[in-house]
Amino acid sequence: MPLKIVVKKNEYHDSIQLMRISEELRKISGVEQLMVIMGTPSNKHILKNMYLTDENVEVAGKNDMIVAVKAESENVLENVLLSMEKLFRQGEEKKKNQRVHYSIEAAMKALPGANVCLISLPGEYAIEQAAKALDLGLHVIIYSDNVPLQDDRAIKELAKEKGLLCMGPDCGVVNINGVAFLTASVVKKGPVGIVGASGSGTQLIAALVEREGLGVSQAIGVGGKDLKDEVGGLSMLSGISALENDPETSVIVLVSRIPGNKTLAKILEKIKQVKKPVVVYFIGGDAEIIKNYNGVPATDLEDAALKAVNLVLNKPLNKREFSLSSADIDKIISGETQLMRPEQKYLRGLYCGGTFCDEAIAQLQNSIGDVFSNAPGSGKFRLADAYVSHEHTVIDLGDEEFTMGRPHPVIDPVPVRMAILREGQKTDIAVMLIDFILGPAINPNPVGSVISQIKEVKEIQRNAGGYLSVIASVCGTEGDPQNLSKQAKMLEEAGVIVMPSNAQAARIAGLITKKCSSV
Amino acid sequence: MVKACLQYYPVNKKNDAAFFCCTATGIGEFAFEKVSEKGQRGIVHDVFNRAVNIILSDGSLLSILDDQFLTIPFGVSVVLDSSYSFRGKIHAGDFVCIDNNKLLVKSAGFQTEVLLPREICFTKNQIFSFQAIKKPFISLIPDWVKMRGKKGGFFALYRSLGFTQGNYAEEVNDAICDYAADRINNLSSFLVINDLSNSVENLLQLVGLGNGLTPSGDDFILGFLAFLNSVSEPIFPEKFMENVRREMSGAIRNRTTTVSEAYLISALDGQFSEKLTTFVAGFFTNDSEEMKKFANNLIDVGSSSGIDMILGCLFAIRLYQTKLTKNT
Repeated sequence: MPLKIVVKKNEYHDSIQLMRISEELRKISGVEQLMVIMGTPSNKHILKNMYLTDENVEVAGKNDMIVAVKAESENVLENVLLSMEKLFRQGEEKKKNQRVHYSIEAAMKALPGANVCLISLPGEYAIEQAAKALDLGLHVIIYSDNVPLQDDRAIKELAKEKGLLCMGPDCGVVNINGVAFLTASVVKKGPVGIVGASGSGTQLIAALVEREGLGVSQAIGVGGKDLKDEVGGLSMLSGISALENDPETSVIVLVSRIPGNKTLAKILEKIKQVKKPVVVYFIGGDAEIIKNYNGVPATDLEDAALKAVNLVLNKPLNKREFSLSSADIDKIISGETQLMRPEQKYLRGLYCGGTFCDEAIAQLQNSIGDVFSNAPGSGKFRLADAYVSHEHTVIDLGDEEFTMGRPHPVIDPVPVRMAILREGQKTDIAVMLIDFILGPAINPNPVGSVISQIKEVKEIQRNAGGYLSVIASVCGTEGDPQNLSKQAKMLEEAGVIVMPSNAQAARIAGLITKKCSSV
Repeated sequence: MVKACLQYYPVNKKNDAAFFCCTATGIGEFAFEKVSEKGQRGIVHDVFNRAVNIILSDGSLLSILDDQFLTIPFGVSVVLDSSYSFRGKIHAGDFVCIDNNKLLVKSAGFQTEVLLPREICFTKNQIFSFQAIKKPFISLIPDWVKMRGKKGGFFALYRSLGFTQGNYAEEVNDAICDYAADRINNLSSFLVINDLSNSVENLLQLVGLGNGLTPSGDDFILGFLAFLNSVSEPIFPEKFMENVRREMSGAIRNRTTTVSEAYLISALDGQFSEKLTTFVAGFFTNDSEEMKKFANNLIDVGSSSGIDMILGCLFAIRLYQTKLTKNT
């Protein structure tokens, strides 16, 4: 197998940058081994142990950077080296083109007329800067988490006093005036306004509204803790008022985990006063109470999106179980189960989106009963160790156990890859349920990052005389840089069943699992 | 280490060259020793936005760096405007002369002058009793690392090296980390039984291991030595650490990057960066907020250098605990 060693004299790069570049280069088809490393004796010793050495390595100095790559052909080697140069150049260009300002005031001078400030600092510093931005008359989006609840409330009270919006802390999805912030998808403009304390929930509703032919006026993220009683839903209340006064919004959708009791009362009271229709999806919330306050309850994220669209179009508010006909669904179930071994009985869900994980559990409990999970609220079905599945298991890979010290899996796919390999090889697995999230600021190829692992575990199950059913949903739009259709096609080509929403994916996964468990 | 008052001189024209002059706000012990030598000369080795490394005529390293890095043993700290960058004003290969308490770098079209302090008052590393360590801080550190969004380096080995406090886990799938884990585990075993030659051998195998300007193995050793340097209880036989330092000093040349070598040489001589020293001292304070501030300062160093040093400190703490328990 051809080996290429390149030594770059007296060149340093940030180690995290090198790690990212190595990761990108290893994805190139045909690359067997690849190391980008400084030429110190200890590092050269490692290269020698990996048989990634030649006379260039021997003479490389301690301040030199060594790139060692082994690939299936000379063409692949050339491709790797060209791609590497491009990646280094991109990094340098990016640095050159960055306009760095060292204060909010300086940034405002450089960009007069800006009215939103996005803050992504460690939690302990975020609030001070958010207060400064609010004092300067800017709406704020606070991506930071780990902000104490009293600070969360205090900053929102300040925003209210100033008549500005405070989106976050812990807010990941915002679409304002057609601009996708943070991990939001690129969505067309339209008459549906969303206020969400759930990032992935807000994003999927927006994407599904677009798929149904409409668009989103504003999607206001409020942060995961806004509806706790200690914070009192201050941002959701402000968001509802903003959308009520927004002439471009015809219908409002609210999405969240179930609020604290006192906060729920305030939100319901507000819904009652609003003149526009309000669709409410509070996961686990009581539909009757919502109806009593003139809200339109939804049963899942897709249902919330459909109800909003139908309210705008003045159509009946019917629930849709599946987009496909029941005959097609039966055909899929029978096709997916016929090759399984008798011991293949269990479902394993691997989720990046926390709300999707909760939604899937709720859907699956209807069809297969008990589901173990690491998600909050799993109660007696909480996994003792999120790395060890038990019977039917749905794992939130965005939970702290997996994100400790590393980016969220929507950015860094390693935890997803590891989970696919870990769960997909088990003898008792029948169905793997998985979500993918698209957007400009996240992994540029979420499906491509894990597709080889999906193929690998399908192959392993096939070689063991069985079959692994993989069911997926992709949250995103055609306008996202990753492109919804392209990502879905990649999955379908690998034999994955792609459903149009997470709820539908969970429902069909449940039906397939139920069928194999009953055999 | 010394903190002098800040004095700015406006950028000016002098001999048709743009001119930047400022007074150093801090100087490390090693750097003070070097700049005090008469007629010292050097060549610029590398230039970063906020730091310049100079190789002096005796082969040692001297750095001019932004005060935000605090003081390092071989560094001269200056306060820079937030937008100021040394890049483009100083170039690799530029000539440096140090005379009459001035450090002058002449570059084509630009001169940089740093007024050096005439007097210093050293804050020596403090020595503490291990018994006074605040154990709860140890378990908070992984959470602080996580909160700063740091990962990678050898800190990724936190769990696999058997550290259980706090809630930190990172999957490791890397040949360098695997190799490092073996070396660190061996080092632990040999230090526990006071095996000098094998301890030195495993320490040397960590030198230069990893990526970046200061490879992770070196940062780990810095953290390890900094903690050992600050604790009074003897856990090794007489002269054991002295011998480790002597053997390491003799063998360290050309095993790692120039900058990292300078840090290691200073460390073997008992000198560490201010951020590392204050972090170690933080374990013996009563104020968790103060300790958090020190920890965050160190965590923020480099992409993984700070957390690699922290891992070295935690390794030293565990070694102390093991050996003290064994001795009792």
